[in-house]
Amino acid sequence: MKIKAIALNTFKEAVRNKIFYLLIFFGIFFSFSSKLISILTIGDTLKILKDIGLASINFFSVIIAVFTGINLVYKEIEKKTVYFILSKPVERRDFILGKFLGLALTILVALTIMISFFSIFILLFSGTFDPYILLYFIFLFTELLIVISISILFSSFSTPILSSIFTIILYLIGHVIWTFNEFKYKFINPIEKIFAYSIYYLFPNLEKFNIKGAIVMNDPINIKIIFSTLAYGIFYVSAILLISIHIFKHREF
Amino acid sequence: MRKKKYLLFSLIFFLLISFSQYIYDLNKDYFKKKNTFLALPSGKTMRIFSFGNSELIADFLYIWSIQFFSNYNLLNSKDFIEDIYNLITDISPRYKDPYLLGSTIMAIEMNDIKMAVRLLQKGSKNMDDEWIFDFESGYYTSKYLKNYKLAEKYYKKSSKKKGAPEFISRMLYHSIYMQGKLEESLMLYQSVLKNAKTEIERRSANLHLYQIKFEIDKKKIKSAMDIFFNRYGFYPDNINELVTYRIIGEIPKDFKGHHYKYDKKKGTIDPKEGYMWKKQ
Repeated sequence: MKIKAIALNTFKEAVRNKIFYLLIFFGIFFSFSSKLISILTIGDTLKILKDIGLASINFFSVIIAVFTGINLVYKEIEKKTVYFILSKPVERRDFILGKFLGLALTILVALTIMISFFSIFILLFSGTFDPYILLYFIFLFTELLIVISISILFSSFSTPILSSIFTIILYLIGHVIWTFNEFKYKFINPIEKIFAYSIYYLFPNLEKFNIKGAIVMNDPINIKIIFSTLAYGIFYVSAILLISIHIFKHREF
Repeated sequence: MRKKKYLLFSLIFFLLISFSQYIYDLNKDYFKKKNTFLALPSGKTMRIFSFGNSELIADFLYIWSIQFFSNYNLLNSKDFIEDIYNLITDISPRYKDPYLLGSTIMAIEMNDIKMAVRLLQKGSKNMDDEWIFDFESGYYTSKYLKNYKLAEKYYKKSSKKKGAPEFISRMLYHSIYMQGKLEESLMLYQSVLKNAKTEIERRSANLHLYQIKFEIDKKKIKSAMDIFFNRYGFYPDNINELVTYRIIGEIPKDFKGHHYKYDKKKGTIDPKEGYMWKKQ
């Protein structure tokens, strides 16, 4: 109940921010502007529309996740409103979980709006509804849950600027960590090997949530890949939230 | 009043900006013929640094390549064509359009058929379910390189793929015919005629069969004429003398059942009616 109250409050606070609407507007605007760019191509214009549209939604939803996430916990500490909350019978764990769920709801709403507009746009253009876009929605949402959990983790002990830098760096690492598989055979020394593998498994592998290529090329996606990826996302979010709770619990105000 | 003053000044500055841009445009030759230089990273590097947006990068590179190769003021733009389309197809190996457009520019504008076929074969390897790459390879190899044996290989590969249109089989048979395999192509075109569903298919098969039969008959008559000439020192006045002198069992007729025209000076036959020749 307490978690729900904090979550709803977090959601209301996030949607009160005008930047939230501006970012959604830009996400939709850039999705639609793909029609202009597609004029310049020869061949499959639907691919261009989907690529630019999905990339725009991805980009702006990550921006919403990072910048809303880093501010929420820090603002409470900075404005000292956290004292009022924690002086009541609210556990620090509930506070973090409430913040996370509120942010997740915010992202869910933003993503639903952007994906709905984009689906209608594709439907009007191609005449068919692409069900893979729904799968993309689920994958992107799971990826964003990881991003917001990371941003909450950093904002629980750092300043907003540093938190945003750390979160963005982790997001970028998350999208290039797959390259480890291409040079992992070069580690022969067991210590180096353990170190390299630890880093590989520790950092979030966000590229596995990227199914834009498969959607655009109409490639089939293995059901095992779908479930293992979603499970990975849930486990990762849980782990990060537990660390965040641990840090926040031991933090002195 | 103060607000309006600022607006007025900003308007003056915008006018000055437009004027300076106008002067710049007057003095700048945007369409000057020049050489260009391009240094491209590898496809793998681009994929890594696209941070999950490799398809988008491939799209932008493809759109840029269209503008780049449409610019005829860049004198050496074609020097980079293979690198550019290899880069795009390395980033997005299953993006069909760059293979097709790249190979078209290579073949039609640069006349480099081998380069075009190389790109198309890369496409065939990366999308082994697509028939178009092998078909285009066969077409370029047959039309420009006149390498019908290689064209036969590509057409055969293409015709076996899912969704391949029927006409590829006819092009395959044509490449077999162009290699001089007359008996084999006669048999293949007879099956085309038998299974033809459209008027175009029927007409195409008829034209081929007419010509193939004529070439087979021409060879047969030529060898009979050589025997006659060696025996008597001249060609017969009438072609039927080949039967009379028992050199040949019967005089062949064309595919439509008409007699061939006989040239007694040369001892050769020609088709009676004109038709679209398949082999020039």
